[in-house]
Amino acid sequence: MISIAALVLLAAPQSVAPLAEPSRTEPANNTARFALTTAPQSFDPLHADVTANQVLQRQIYEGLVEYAPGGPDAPVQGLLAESWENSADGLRWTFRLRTDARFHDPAKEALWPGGERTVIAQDVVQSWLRMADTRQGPRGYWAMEGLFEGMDAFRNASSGNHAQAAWEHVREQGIAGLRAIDTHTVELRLTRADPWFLNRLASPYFVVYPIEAVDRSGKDFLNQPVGSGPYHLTEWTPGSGAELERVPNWRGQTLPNGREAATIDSLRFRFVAEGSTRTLLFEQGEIDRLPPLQDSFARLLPKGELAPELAERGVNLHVVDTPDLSMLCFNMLDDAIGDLPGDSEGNRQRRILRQAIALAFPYERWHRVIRNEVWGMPARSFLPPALAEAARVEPCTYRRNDLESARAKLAEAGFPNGNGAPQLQLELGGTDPINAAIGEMFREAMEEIGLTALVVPNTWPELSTKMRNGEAQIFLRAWTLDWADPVNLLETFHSANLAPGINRCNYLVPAFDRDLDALRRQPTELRGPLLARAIARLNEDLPAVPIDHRKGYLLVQPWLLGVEVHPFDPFPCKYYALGHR
Amino acid sequence: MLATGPLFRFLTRSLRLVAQALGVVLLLFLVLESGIAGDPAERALGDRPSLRRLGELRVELGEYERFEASALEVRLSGNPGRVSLVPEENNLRIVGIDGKTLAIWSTESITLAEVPDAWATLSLYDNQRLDARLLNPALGRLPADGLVAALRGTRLVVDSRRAAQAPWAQARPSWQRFLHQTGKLLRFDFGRGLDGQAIGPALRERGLRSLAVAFPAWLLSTVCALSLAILATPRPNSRLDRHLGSAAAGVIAISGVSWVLLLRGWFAADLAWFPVTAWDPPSLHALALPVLIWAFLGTWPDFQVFRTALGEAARQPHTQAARARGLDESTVWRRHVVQSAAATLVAYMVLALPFLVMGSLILEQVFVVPGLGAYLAEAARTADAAILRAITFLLALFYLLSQCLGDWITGRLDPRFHAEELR
Repeated sequence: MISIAALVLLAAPQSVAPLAEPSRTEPANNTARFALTTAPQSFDPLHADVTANQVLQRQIYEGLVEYAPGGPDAPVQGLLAESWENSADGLRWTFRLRTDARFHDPAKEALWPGGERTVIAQDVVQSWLRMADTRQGPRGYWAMEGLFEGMDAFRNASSGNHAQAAWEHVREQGIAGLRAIDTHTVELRLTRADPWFLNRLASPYFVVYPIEAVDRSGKDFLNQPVGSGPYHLTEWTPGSGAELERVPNWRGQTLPNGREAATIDSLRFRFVAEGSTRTLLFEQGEIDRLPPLQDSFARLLPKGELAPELAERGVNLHVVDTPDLSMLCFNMLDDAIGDLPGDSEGNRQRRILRQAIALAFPYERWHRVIRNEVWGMPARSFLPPALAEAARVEPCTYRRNDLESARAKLAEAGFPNGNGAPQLQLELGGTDPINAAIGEMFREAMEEIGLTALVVPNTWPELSTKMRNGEAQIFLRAWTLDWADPVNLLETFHSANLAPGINRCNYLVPAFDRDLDALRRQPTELRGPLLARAIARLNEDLPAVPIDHRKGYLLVQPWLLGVEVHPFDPFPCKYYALGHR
Repeated sequence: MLATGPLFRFLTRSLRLVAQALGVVLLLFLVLESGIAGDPAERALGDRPSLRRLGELRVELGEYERFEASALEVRLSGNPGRVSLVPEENNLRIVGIDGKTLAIWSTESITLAEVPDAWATLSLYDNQRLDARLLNPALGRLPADGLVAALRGTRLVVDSRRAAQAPWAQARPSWQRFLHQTGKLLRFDFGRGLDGQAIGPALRERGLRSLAVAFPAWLLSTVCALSLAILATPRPNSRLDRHLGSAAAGVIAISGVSWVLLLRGWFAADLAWFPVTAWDPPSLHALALPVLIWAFLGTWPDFQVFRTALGEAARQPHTQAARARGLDESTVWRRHVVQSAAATLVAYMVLALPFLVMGSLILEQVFVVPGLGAYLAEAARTADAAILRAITFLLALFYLLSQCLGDWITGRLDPRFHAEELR
């Protein structure tokens, strides 16, 4: 799942058309039809950072493991891997591949006789190493950076003068941290134990494909994918849509409910940029699932409940707690509200000022106006409730609207009634009415405790540049986790990721870094105290204030069966089936 | 003589055309260089930028010839504190916590190996020093101005609590990139977009799709507008003329987006006469609605232009003289009004042609037509300079070509222009 830094703000304008009658025309064949909200661009797994690319690639490629069907709590299960072992220290993993997994090449002049070849361990090595080859322009290396022994060294070599020789060497021999032991066994050596390693492997960056397909297509591999999954590509317009067909002799998979996977003959994906068009297509039965956005939310889901017309038609509603966090961020480089080395008294004063701002923030108004009372869940702590650890960490005590305490904090900071306090500056990431409403709400809230706030509208690139250069004082931001590991979120506060990296608050506390470094290596069951300490430090230092976690809504036509939404695997079409339309 | 011959005129005109197209490209290059559209490398990386990834992507985009992610390790020693290294021309500005400039360090004729000694002498706050260490001795002979180039668009924060790694880059000079890009454009080699897809084939395929909607719509709207103008103009201030004028004002006053959504909602949703999308799969039936909507929206502004042009022609002295000679009204219109307005009308119509290839951004988005309009919208959203450059170049070229065509037709239709040219 892609992580996003922009806080996507939702508005609910008036609907443009009444609910339409469902169309009488029903497709005769067994085709599922979906509308994508972003443009699909590439089938190359190196470009799996774009959501639409992930959705399409998920149907064609397979990794060693995947999320099992069964909703948000479904565990990771084997996919290309039949079994695996993990050493006691968590540093060595041995995966045994299944022997019946085969790549299928849909090209007329196929790579292999019969268009098929067995997936072997060498494919795993070569596919993952390609993600480290800087010449290929990989966009997902962050998922494996610093994790496998020798991987970073190869990455460095791949940008030097002997890049081709380095690649030729590792594609045959592997590296110390990633080797094929025999045709069906892969050994991985990690530089640190990672309790969420399997979840990481289930992400779209760790899929496997035959390197000869890359050799054949060169730069056009992004249009000619070859994978071992249940579907292959039959029609493709980059930036627009694709049609995938079931591989006739795919090995098959039996789901826990006894049903066979991948029973749908073909999948049709179209990029539909316009929200009202997507809604109309869904209402006419032309697409099978719809994440309703602002343009139609109030009409399709008044108060977050299915509209009676939709309920009557048997449309199903899925509500997903998005594993993310929306935050009010403070730039710790800023000399008015930040943290300056060597100035302990000033830092104490500024920390209390941040706490006062947090106590004055209008959370309820935000929930009502910006989230329409249904698009978000008020945050209790920094961790989204979708994470098992969320319930075990202390709540953020400053995340409450308590003006009296805010005023008391201001006085404690030496700014009674805001006297002598610096002017605050909220940088917005848009010039639309919703951003204007946020600015107004912030300014008024600060005024109530005697602080003056300047609200600066920016275009998104402008805000992005300001954040990158540490020039934005206060701003809003959301982070979506890539897998269910709290560390994935806390990384956004590690000093190794200072701007222009993902630590846009520029939080730099060596003790927090040490806790996080230790946390990365701890087995899940032993992480409690360290995690609690790291979160407690954030609660007190407040480089950011947790506001809420967004909720995702999905409408599914009555005939699309088997849809159970997993936050980290949102589009597993092979688990779906089509009933009578 | 060659100096006045048709070949000379053709050559000068062609050169002027290419120069104008390149001027547009230069303007676009400067706009994109200014960063107004955002940094393409940063846009492409989305929310996971880092100095290293930005640098590597700039190599991919041709902005850097070489990039080293870890050239120097930089520490701030002495009293606790923090400084930022901000790139400027050939200098690094060293900024303190309070935003004050502590030093401006010129990188001129200094190698990376000499940086540690040079920085040791910098005067910062009391008892603070900037310590640098060369991380890879093999890089020691590289010029230090690469430190400035690698920080373009951002800065390096050095905090006394943590060592920072400074990257190094060899930037390709702007003029070199401009020449390289221009050379490629003149060969119609548009390269690849940020998404890795080849731009040339995408332009061809998408241009044809846009034309499939735009051309019939243009034809229809032109015919309708011309017919209405010919109906209304001979009877100025008649009821028909007034009604048509009000209709045109009414249609133009409401935004195109509202019309598109309203008509789509009516014909595709409520009445279900047409499919909601026009390209899934494309068919005459599916394309009919966007074509009709475009024609409807295009008719009224055209009608107003045509009516004005015909009205002016109708008031010309030679038209009045023809009437005074007793010619019947239809002959006056055929021989004098229409003929004299023809040059203006044709020039107006021809100039609209290049924009047809671009399709309609709104219609293509609403009716899910994967044409050039949608392509341009996506390229603008992602600040994809290569696609924007290619589209702008082609559009400028088409526009200039159509201008030439318009001039030529006008010259043929209106003897006054021809006479002007002969003089």
